Amino acid sequence: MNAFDRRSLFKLVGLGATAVAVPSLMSACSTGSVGDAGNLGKDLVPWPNYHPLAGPAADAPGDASGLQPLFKSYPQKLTQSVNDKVGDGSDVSAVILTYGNPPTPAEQNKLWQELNKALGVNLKLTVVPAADWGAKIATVTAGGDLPDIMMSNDIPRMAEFVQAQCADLSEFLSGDAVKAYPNLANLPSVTWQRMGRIGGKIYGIPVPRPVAGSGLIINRTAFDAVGAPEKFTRDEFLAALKAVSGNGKWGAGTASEELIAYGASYYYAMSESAPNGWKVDGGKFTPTLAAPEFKQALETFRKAVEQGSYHPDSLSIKSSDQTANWLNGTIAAKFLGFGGVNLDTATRIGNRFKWEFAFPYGNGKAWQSGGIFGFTVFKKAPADRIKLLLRVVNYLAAPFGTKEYELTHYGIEGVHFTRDAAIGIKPTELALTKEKPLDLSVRYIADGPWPIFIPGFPDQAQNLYDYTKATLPTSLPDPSIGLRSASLGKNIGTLNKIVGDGIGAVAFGRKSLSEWDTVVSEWNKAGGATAAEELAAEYAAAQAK
Amino acid sequence: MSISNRPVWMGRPSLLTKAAKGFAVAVIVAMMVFPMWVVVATSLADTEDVVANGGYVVWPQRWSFTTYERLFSTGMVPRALAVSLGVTLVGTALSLFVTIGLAYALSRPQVFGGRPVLLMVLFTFLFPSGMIPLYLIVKGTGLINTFGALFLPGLLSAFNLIVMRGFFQSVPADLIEAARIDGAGELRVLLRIVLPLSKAVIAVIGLFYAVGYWNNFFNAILYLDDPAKYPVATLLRYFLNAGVSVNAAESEASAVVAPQSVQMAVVVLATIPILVVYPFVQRFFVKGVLTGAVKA
Repeated sequence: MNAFDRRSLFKLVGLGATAVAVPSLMSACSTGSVGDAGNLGKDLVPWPNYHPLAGPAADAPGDASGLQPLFKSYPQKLTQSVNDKVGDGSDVSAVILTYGNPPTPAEQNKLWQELNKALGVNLKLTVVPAADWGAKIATVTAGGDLPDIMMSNDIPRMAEFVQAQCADLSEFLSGDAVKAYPNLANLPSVTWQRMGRIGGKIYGIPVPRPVAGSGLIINRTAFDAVGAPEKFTRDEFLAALKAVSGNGKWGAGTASEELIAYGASYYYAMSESAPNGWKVDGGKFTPTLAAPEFKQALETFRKAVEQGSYHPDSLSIKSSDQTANWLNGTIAAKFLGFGGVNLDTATRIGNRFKWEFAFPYGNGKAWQSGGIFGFTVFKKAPADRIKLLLRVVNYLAAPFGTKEYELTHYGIEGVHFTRDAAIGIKPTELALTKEKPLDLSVRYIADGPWPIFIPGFPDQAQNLYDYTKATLPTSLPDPSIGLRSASLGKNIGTLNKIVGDGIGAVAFGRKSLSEWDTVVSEWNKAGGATAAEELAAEYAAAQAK
Repeated sequence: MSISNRPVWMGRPSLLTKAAKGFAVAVIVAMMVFPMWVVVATSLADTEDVVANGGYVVWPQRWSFTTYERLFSTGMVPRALAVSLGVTLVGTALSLFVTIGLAYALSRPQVFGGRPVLLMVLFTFLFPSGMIPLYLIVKGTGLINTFGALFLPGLLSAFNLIVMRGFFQSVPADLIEAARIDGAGELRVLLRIVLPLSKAVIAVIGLFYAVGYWNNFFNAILYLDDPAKYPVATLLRYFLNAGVSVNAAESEASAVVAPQSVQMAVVVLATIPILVVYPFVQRFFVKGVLTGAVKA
């Protein structure tokens, strides 16, 4: 009988360890083969110039700061943003993520067929669930057989990969060259800047999202019932949280998924005017977690927990369950993304209570979002092919109020939606089941700037517009957005976990506030300090131009 | 032995003892059944119920099949079920074939090269290949976008092989020797002597493989681009992803039905086939696993 002794096992372990170590040794030898994807010391190509498109009149205008136009109802008359031929009948492959279901195959999908007709290409989409995107894109990029178009989110060593394997789009988009693609020229300059350059060049098309960031969504009816003012001081906010707590209800709640990076402490941090991600002082980058304002934010958060205002499951509950607790009135406040103020949330709440983003307490400054979902890159190809792909992406980036946007976001009139006097657009049964426009997910290839439009809920849309208009002028951007840092790219998961775990430990009493400094020190050692230096160098390079 | 001399544990239990035992059994059963019931009840609750109960529902106020209707309304589920069934049947049959073949060979002490092959198998057990190398192999062998990619990369499980080899080693050598004296070759020994004595382990390993193939959503995501070829587990993965997106991504998508009811419906759908098959192999289960576990 073949029996194993300890020696055999150790041999196996030794062999395995060697096998694991060799590739990393080999990769260490190959450092530099993909070139330097940073921008320091590079000639930076100019950003695409901004040429806004004239579209349907909004109920309230947007502006260059990132304020989104308000549409209380769906525009009666749409404009057309693409008049020229787009494609040449060839196949165009794309790998993108989805937050929906897999699309019905093209041969049975009227929307997909119509989109192919409009684009003049045969779109071959590989649509991957968001939760598995990281694994899929890692294998696609490792396999070497790249699609024509792909999202760059979560590509391992993204900047280096893109520089080595993807098309340089600078000559097609920089400056006024972008005018050949009017919907791309309609993307505000800030959207391009937040994508950032790679090696001084433009390699991608940003997928825009609102500049207005996430916040604390509150049950205003519950806060009104305890006499809480619309704009609180720190003490008034804590008092309001305490007052709405009791009898099986709590002032606020957080969730396990929010204990990553600054999520759980977001509202406190911006209310204390802590810097958004990083503070830049004299060209030096200091992380938010080392700022005294952030320590103050943690102290306030801790007080709110100590006074019994937080849902007891806050450290373990899933975000979806905590959202259910907010929707059913168990908790009165929770963290919510800006896009969470949408038709789904509005429909679920109906008229049960008033709800809105809470203004930062005191003289706090709201935090801006990254301003983009990510950016799309192309496989290297001859110039004519790149121009074709840019025309495809230009079509998909059409703004709200255009016929192109209507097709990509709502489908075909009479097939996927009908016009409704009350809410503007009403999806058909087909659009709610077999052919959800969302499922095609082309909006993750490119998208127009988002308007504020909640079909059937004009007052809620107005409310969101007013909040954004009031907070955006003083809001803080994250100065690291668009800058490249190898350390950040490599260690972001660990760094975010250190911050999230630390916030959870201090706010919920497992660590004292004085122990926060050890979290900062751990973060610095895990690559944070190196990231700060790299970002400072990148920042200096960007400022020099 | 008279009744009065019997030890306590041999005596006829009193009514109170019987009641206490019954109660204890009922509590234990309830502890098992209750979570399963909550899963089913939540999957059959409508959005308002789920929200009102803070996520999980014990008894829906309004019973609703909306979640299941939504899951099936995409029109892709019947085809995906057929794909899953095919992959599970073909994959399990092929996996059992190669596992039995290799396990039998490695269970024979005199097989040439048996030890290096066994070490090689154990090496993969200790150090799995990793996602990207496996992807490159699948791509290199031309399996991308084929049904073969759903079962060929994991055709042989080192764990299952070790369990089955252990079982085969427990077959008395005298029995095999007697068969050889009667003129039986290796194939006949395997088919007529070893396999009939190994029904238990084959049933258990077959169940392991079948459950693995049925539940595997990831291979299709990695190796297939055409949704028409997706098995049902992959579709369910999308539904789950879509159901939670409004909360996980915060700013992307929107959920039509409550994410908890989607998650629970997915659990129900994924569990049903196993519940159907399990009773038929349950009688082999304990014997098969234990026998394999103590032979290495």
